Amino acid sequence: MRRHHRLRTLLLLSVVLSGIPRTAAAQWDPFDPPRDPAHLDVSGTAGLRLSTDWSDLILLGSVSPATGALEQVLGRDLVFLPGPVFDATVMYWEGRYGFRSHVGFSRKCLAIAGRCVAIPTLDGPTRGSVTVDGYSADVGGAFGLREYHRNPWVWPYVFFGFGAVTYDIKQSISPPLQMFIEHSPSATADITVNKNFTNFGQTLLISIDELGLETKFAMNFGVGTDLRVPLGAAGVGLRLELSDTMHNSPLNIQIAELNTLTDEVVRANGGLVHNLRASAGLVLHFGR
Amino acid sequence: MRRPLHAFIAALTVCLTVAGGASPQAPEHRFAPGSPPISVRPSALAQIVSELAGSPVNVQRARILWVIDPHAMVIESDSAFDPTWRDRGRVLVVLERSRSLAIPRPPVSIAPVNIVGIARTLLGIQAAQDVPWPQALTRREIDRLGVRAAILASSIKTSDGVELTSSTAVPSTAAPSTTTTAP
Repeated sequence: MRRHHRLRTLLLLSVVLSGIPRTAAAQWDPFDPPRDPAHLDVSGTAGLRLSTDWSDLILLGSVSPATGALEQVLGRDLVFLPGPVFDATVMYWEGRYGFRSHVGFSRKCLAIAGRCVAIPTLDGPTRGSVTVDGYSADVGGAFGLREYHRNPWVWPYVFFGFGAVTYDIKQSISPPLQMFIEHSPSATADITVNKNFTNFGQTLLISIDELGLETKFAMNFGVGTDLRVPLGAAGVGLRLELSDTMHNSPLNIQIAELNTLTDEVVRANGGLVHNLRASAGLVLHFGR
Repeated sequence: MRRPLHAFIAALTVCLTVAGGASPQAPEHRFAPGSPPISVRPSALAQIVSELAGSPVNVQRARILWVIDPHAMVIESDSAFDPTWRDRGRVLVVLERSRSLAIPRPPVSIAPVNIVGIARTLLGIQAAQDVPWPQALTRREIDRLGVRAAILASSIKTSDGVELTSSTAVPSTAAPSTTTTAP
């Protein structure tokens, strides 16, 4: 709780400090006013990424006085465990307004409960841990947190955008429908389940996407700053960025009743997946 | 019977004539000649120029954003925040033919200044051709700067009363004067 308060205080302080009016109007030369100085920067950064779960452990079950609890595993608590993330960004600025295009890459594995292990599927466990390449590409806008003057030493900004995240899963992951809790695995399990798991005599249709090459629409926002060494028409600097890329879970599980008048479909998906990124790297800027 | 009918038609005609003819002429008679100028800030003038156009105005607490040439400049409301190129509520100040700007170059400060003149619309200034249109002020610059109104200025003064224009016999379009002092 205290950490939250400190973070909030620091955030508030930084916003207030960046918004303090300065008596720098004397720097403004009305005979030669700075007119949206255009500049371009190219950066390459590396950093860390943290992704949230694609899904929780999803069970379809029933409780019977005769047989006890019987729960079938529809989905495991999958998560992309990313390795180091590498990014390349090109930004074009006019004054404090910028256009940003960005690509990123990270490789590691698909994990269950945070561990890179073999994943149980309908066809049996995978061959060791499943390697995943994560690509992201997005475009968007950026906004400088202070008024742009030529050749600034510090250039803080916020950015936002939209794009796509693609996960190249090196082994096909089918749903783990053969997994049961409290009972031995069924030999006749299939993607379409026609068994009466509940006591109400309902027949369920279960649809689970096999994971392979998954692409999701994504939105992102973040904050960054350049610590620059202006060398005239061009310069170099250090870029620091924090961002979050959000997209829907690649795991798509739908459960519906057959022979029902109400056309209801339950989507037992993991919801929104966040990909938090912290990176640092080199930035080259051109123009004043 | 006919007389009241004629009187009614005549009265109706007069009323319609007055009602129809009064509105286009209203701006011309809104302010009597010699009436004191209306005090207004640049941002307010930019917003209500359609109502104030043609009226004498005293634009107060302005700051100089861009000296386009010796006869024209762009102003905005003075503020605690730094000026930026892209913004809203700017006003074009064009000097009368007999005057030119006498602002030190570079000025140590760009605010506050007070401008006295006639509020005009941008289209009115350009179409009337009573003063030359500043060539550097293109449509693109007008859009980027957010210039929405104009003033045909007779005087530009600092708040302590120092005149920032000087009278000239022949207006020229040469580079702005560098160290001209106020008369």
